[in-house]
Amino acid sequence: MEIRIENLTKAYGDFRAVDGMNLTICDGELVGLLGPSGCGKSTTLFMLAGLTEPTDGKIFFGDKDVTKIPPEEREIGLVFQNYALYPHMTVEENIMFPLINRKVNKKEAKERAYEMAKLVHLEGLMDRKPKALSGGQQQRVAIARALVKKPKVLLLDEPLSNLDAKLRIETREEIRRIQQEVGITTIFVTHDQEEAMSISDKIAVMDKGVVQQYEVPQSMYLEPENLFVAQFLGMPEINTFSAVVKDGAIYCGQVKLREISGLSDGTYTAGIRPESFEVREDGFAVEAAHVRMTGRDLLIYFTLDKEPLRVLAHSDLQIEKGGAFKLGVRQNQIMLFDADGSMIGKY
Amino acid sequence: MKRRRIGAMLLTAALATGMLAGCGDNGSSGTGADEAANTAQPAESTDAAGTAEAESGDAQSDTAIEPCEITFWHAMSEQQEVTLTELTDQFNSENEYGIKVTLVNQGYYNDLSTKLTANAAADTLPDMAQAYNSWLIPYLDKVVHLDDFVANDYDNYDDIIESYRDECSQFGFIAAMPFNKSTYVYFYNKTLFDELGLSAPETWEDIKTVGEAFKTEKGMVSLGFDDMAGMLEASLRQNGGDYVTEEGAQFDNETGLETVSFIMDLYSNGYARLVGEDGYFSGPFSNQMIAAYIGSSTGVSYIDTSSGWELGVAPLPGNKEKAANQAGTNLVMFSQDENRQKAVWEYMKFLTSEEATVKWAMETGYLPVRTSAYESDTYQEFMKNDATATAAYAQADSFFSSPAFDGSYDIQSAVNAKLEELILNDADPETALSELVEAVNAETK
Amino acid sequence: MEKKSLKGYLYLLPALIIILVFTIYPLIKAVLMSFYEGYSIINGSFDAIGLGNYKELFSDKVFRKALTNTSIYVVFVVPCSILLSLLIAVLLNSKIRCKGMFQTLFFLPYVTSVIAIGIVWSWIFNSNYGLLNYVLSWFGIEAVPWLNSPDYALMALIIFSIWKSMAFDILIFLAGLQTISPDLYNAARVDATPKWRVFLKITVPGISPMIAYAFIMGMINAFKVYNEVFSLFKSSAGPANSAITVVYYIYDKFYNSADYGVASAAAVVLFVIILALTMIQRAVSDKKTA
Repeated sequence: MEIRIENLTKAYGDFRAVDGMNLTICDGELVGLLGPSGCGKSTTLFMLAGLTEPTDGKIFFGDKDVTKIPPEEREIGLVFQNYALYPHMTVEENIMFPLINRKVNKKEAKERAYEMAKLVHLEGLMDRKPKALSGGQQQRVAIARALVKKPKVLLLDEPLSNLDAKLRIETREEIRRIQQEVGITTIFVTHDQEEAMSISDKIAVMDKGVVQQYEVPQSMYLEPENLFVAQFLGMPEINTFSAVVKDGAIYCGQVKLREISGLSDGTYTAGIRPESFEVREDGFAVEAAHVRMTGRDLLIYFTLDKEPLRVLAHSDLQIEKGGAFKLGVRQNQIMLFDADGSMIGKY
Repeated sequence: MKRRRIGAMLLTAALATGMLAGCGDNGSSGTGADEAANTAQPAESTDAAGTAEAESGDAQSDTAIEPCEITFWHAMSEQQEVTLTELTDQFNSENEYGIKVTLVNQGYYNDLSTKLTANAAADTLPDMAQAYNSWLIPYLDKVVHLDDFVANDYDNYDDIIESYRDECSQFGFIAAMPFNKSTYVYFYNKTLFDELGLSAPETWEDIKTVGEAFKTEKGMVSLGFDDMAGMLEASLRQNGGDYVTEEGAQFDNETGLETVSFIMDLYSNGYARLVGEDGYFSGPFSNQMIAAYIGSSTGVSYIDTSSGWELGVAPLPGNKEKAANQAGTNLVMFSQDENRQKAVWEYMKFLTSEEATVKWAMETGYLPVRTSAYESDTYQEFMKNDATATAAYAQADSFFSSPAFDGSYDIQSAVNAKLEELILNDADPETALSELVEAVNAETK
Repeated sequence: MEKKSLKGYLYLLPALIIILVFTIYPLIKAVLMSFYEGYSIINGSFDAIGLGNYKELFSDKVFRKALTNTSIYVVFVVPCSILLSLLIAVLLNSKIRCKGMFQTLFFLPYVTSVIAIGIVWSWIFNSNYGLLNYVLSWFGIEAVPWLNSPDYALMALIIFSIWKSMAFDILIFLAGLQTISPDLYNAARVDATPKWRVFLKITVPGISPMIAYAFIMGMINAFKVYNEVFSLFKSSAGPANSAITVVYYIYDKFYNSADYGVASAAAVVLFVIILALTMIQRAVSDKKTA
């Protein structure tokens, strides 16, 4: 089911939670709505579900305008952040619930429920009550319940935020697997960029109610359209500093980083990802002010002419605090942004 | 910190003492003087503790009485309390012995009776109180016998209404002096009666005539009784029969059947109705929903004629005899101290004197306790304008009091409930009689 | 350690003394008194110790009527008021205008004196001028002698009591409803759940502890009904004692008949009944939550 969002707006008085959003999601895609708190992603999700009424704009499921249609008739499945499992029913009853409401007979409902349970690997837990399940198990029940009525669209609100780190990774793979197996158009909301990056077909980054960029993850990572997106994606975060272009070169303070052409002189915001630096014999000399080791990597803090920066290097490098080394920037990895934050180019 | 602790401890101590004092303070909701009187008493009563019965007062009218303070517990309110206070003030200022009476209002009758019982148990009874005979039964041994006082120091005991004298001597000795007495009278809507050319009924036949007339011509009920058990007793006596003694029902006979038939017919014919949700008949009577009813003379103050009709009051009708219920409490003496007993007797004499009882009756609507009071010019003049008083006086010779004994409240209660039930079920007279007898006997076994 | 616990006891002492003197002691004394035959309150003497009071109690028709009346009363008042309160609490919790006004209205009975309410209701029930009969007449129903007839008196009492006990139940149910996560209702909405099923499967189980509490407290209070009788029937127990309850019986025997032994026996019987029912109730609800 293709989803088309046209000029969607949600205003609370003067405050616009979602402002004139336009987005098209292709059938069968897994799309992540990514952004910081308050950017409007959950509001968008709930408008897609029909639980929140838009102030303006339209939503289309396929060719059908569903803007005014109530949630129970939109053929959607919704997984809440805290799962919202019915606490006084067993897992089996929880999953059967949407079917019973639609007057499916008990035998068939049970069969389909067990089918779903198999899909999400819940067999053996059907007789338990939600409070006897772990977080991950509860989530799978929520997913099963959402999918059992064979909806056209699956919506998930921050599905992984209540799980611990290891479980998060497991579970997001599960979500991806289930989505692929069923082939259902899925939208999920998250504030975790790594999560969005790892499983989405496409990501829509939002800030202040506006979509900043809608792109395939890797492309978005490598070619952010603006400073916000560049800063939001990538862990550790991109280095940003004020760079001066003069005499055909980009300078960080007094240090010449690269010779370029075709760009007028002036001051720009520059962005270099920590992994974009490389240790080179012919680079500029720096001293490690601070080193953080994370098993595989080293994150070394240094200053380049009073500008604090970080480089991500392999721990084989064995540089310690106070150690001196030389750095260069890989080709085409210096991003320059103009005054309003849009990307000018990569140099 | 330390100061706060000390403060807290002091508060707790004060609280605890306050509460303990509260629960020790059994009787007085009155003035501080009352507490003094209360605490003064136990010392004296232990002197007389040896004797099981209270001694009769040793009255010598010429012996000087030392000044003292005596307490009188009562349940009078509003106008009654006002008049009582005036009379008491008068006594306090006029008596030559320096006796001071302190009035303590204990609330309603049931509050007073409960307090008396509790204080009897704690042996802290007041010097004097109002009481019904039935209240005294559990602690009769603490009631002072007044026989000697009456014999040696009363002007004319025969002047007291005979029925009151009988009531006060019910226990075989003079236990009390009458005080706030009333009687049941027949209240009727004179305007409506005149309209139908009727006058107040004097016999049972008259009642039926009145009943029929109002039923057919006005579709109206013409009789009701605020006190059903009292009505049964009065009717039995009016028919020449007896009601109840400690041995049981005395009306399981022809007279009883005749009486009960008459009563049940009144209701089944639609001449009379139960008071039901109205509580008292003065309400429906004032709204002219009922042509007449029988109730206490003190109830006249609740009758409202402002919608423009005339109230008539008549003595109770009779059959073979006349019989009119009397109600109201009497004055009882509890003091064990000889001097205070004399003081109480002075006060009792005062309250039952002609002058005092006339004032009392005229201002409160209760009845004078002496014949001479009725016959005084003042009261005669008063009666001319007061139909209730006139009616009451007219039946003074047929007053009767209900004997009090252990269980008489239960009998009253049972008879009230049983009569209500029988009338609601439209029982026939034979059934009614046997069930009433059974109800009474169940309480006297 | 020892010093500390001594202080603890000292702090508890005032409250303990009050409870011992004003609750435990009278309780024990009442039980003892129920076995004293021929008890005299004047000197505390009694003729014998035995079951005489109990024999008299159970052969008294009026007491049996009081027991029956009270049982019928409990059976009707407690479930009805809980059910109605539940429905009203759900309504009050939903999006309606003037919610505050309705909440005040429904809570008024709790803060008003039962005597005052009783007097007003006795006017509402009046067979001639009463509001209730007036409304019934719109439907062609003849005037009902609510307070005048033994057939209707108990019913009138029950209606009055249900109304009165709703206030407190509504309050605790409203509080309980707040604890149910709104996401559950949203999930139910997405699942196309009809309103009655939402009520039965989500709302009611969600506040089942409150319901259990309301049930126990309601039952205990209902067994002790007295004020409502007293105020509705103008200090009597209904026409021909048709609305007499156990506590009314106790009060009457104690204060009016001065029959302290029988009154105590009745009080003990009531205590045993309430205790037994409460224990059964607790056992049942404990089994459910286990």
